[in-house]
Amino acid sequence: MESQIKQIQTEFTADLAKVNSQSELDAIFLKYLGKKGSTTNILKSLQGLTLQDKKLYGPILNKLKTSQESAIKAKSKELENRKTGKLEDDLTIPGTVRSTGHLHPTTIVIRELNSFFRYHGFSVQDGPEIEDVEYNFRRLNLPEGHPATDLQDTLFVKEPQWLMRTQTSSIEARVLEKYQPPMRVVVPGKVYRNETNSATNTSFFHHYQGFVVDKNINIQNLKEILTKVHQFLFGKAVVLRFRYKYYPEVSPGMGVDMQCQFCKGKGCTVCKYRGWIETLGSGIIHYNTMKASKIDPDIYTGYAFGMGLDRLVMNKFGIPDIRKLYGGELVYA
Amino acid sequence: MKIPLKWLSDYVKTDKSPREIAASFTQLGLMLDKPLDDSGVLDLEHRMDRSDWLSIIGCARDLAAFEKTKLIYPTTNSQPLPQITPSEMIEIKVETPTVRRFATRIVKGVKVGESPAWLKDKLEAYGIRSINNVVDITNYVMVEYGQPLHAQDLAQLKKREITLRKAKKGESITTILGTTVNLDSDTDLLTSGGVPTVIMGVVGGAHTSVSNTTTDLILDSGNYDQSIIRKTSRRLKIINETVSRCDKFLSPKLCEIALDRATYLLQELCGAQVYENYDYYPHPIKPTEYKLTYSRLAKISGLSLPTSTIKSILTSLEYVITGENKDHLTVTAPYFRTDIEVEDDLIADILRINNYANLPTSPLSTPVPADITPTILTFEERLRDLLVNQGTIEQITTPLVQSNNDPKQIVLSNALSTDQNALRTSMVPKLQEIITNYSKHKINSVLIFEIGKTFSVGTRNASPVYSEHRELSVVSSDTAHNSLATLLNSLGITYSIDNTHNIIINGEPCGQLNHNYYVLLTEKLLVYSQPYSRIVSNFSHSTTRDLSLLVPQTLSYADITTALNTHTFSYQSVACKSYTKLSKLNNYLLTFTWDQTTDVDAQVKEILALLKTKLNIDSKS
Repeated sequence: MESQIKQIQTEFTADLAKVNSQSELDAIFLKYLGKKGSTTNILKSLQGLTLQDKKLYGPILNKLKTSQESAIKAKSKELENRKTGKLEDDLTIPGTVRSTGHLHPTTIVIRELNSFFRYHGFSVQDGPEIEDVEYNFRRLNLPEGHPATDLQDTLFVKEPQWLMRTQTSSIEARVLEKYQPPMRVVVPGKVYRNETNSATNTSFFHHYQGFVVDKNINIQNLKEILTKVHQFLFGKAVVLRFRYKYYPEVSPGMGVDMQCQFCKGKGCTVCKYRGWIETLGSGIIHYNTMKASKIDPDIYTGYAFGMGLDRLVMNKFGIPDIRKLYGGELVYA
Repeated sequence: MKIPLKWLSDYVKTDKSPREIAASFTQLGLMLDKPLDDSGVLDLEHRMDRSDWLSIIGCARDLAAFEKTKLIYPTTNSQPLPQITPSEMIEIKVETPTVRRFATRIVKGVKVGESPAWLKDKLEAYGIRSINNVVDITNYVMVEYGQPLHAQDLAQLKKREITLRKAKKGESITTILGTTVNLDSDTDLLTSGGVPTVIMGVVGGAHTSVSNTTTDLILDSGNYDQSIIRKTSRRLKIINETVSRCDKFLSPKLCEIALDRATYLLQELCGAQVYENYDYYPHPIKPTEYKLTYSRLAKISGLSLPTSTIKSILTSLEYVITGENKDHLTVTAPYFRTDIEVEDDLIADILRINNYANLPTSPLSTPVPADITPTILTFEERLRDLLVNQGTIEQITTPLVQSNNDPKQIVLSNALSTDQNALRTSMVPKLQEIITNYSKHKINSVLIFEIGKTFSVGTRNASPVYSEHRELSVVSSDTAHNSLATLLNSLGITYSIDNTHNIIINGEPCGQLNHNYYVLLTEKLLVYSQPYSRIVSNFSHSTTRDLSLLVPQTLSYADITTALNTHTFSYQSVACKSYTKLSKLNNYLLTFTWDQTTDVDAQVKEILALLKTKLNIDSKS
């Protein structure tokens, strides 16, 4: 019995391997599993065996039958696939890319920065885009007629009080008024300037603002977080320059530049031959701003920083013209 | 501010290369703006704060402090000058509140001619053309000390007087540039005998300007309200070296300093005799005292600088230390520092001259404060993710659009271009333009979205009230209703569409649906959304029954569901599988789903009965 089973198995496997068409496969089916097939016959012969033998060989013969059935089924599928030639049969052929949704590059960069700052205990805030001159300038230590107003061209909704915010530090002024220290806050947001549009400048763009108010905040803390965020954005090897720079809403003020990564400071077209690229402005929040926000500057000190986001986004994604960034002309490869 | 290195070296001596000098300037607050070339001129960025940095000496002073070397002041007149005789005196009358100081000297026996080479070279390196020795001296002192001076030919003054007053309607003046300017009553002038001779603090007139025939002149040094000069110059559209100094808060003390320097040069180079005339200075500005407390310096810097370092930095910047104890220094601010407001400004001076590069870094060590992030911000990020999951592409478009005569639209008052002079009331038009653009480039079957603000204006008590609305807009190149259903399902929100195509959630309109777009108010979605997608841990076994209905063409699906909602049925949900227009009726195929245990037949009978009674709807089968 055992030798018979083995023989049927061996013959079946050999016959199956030679099959190249459905009709040949049908013939194999008849030969083994048809009414007069050899597997069918040997199963029938179980009846004439002893109970002991039935118990022994029954399962083995059933297994033989089912294994032959599934082998034939698999072969049938293989033959079918061979006919239509499905791509996935040759796995060396690359798969087809399905289109997916995409976030806007500016959203991606904002999320990266938010996640960096949240790790350092910062909240995220937002506020009005139509702003009151009180929060956009006065609270930030820029009284009316101050020459530093020339540094920003303002788009007015209704002069002199209502304007489109020129910087996200207007939200800093609002948060300082609304909440009590300690606080750590970042404000990603749209800002507006009265400019003519070009490849590098538009009337509408994005800022990323941040500030901390607590006890004993000093300029070394500011230098530390700014170093860390530059390393986060540009890599640990980034070379930075910290210098005095005037902004109305901070004193001492600080400007940060990074060494041009293309020419390593020698000067090239990317950095306009300066060797350095300005990344952000910052400083210790001005004594007058703290007082105007009713925070006692003798108990609390704070730092603030702000950076333009769009150049960063354009550099990260290789987009040369800011108008394409916000004009719906981005194509996802 | 342009600093010719040859000129700078008159006041500060250093072995440093131009590159190194530029680096020092950059550290102390005057960043090198244009790259170094071989012109020998540093072009430094001026941030509109330090009026004293619009002078070579002002910049040299800070560089000398930074390099720990001496500032060398130029030779100037130190002798008291004779007073002009009463018969030759030029009377000064000030009839405008804009003048803080108007200091004048009379210069006689001037030999107007060519300036010496050193003077011409310096001016030309700075970028000012040489005219004659007198005019060149006034320009030279202006750039050297940052205080504009002006010379008028005495022979050309109509009367022996100068009146400073506002212009009268109809007056005009021809400037030294040759242009005739029509004056308005907001503009301040110097006049003589009623004739305008100079636009005060802005530009001189051609008639009284110094020429080859001038022998006697009146030299003036004025200090004016800088915000008025700023407004006047912008209104008249005249910007020049005088304006860029007079529109900043200059110290009135500079008037006498500049006059003394000009006196010396006029005597040396033009053989002139200089006399005192009249100095209008009714309210002399007193120097301000500040306290520099060591504890605050340490608090802001995190450093403990030696007292000797602190004192030497402050003295090198010309602060005068008037008192000291173990806690603080009392100092008087130098006259030229009109920018100083608070103690922290002194600390800024100390730290920048000490060089920020020398500051260590130190991490925050206080506990993390409470999270004050508004939930709407986190929710809108969730919306972005859900839409991207659907295959939608995020857009960010400019909120500045062309005005369209919609009374609710906010129009900006001073936009530079007419195609960006208003705020959008909807994101949809721009997004539809993008879809059209995509299809031009053969990108079809696409969904795009934007989350942002739209703006509108209304009135309350006759005053305009400006509003901002947080919205999500989704625009499709085909239909949008499936995207809406998918999104709201992901948020766990049940909704319906009424006959005016409002999206209704919990009885409240929360948006609008159109054939190829929808708009939702994100703050309302936040209120009604579930925090997580509904996850059920059992496979549901339900029974469904399809009903094919013949519906009069005046009715919509909303009408059917409104009718069904008037009765309490036990079905879990109803959906519309298909909708066909027949010749006189519409055929809606509705699918009802019940929990497996319900008596579905009885329910179906009730449903059909209600629809027949209320809406005259028949079943097709």
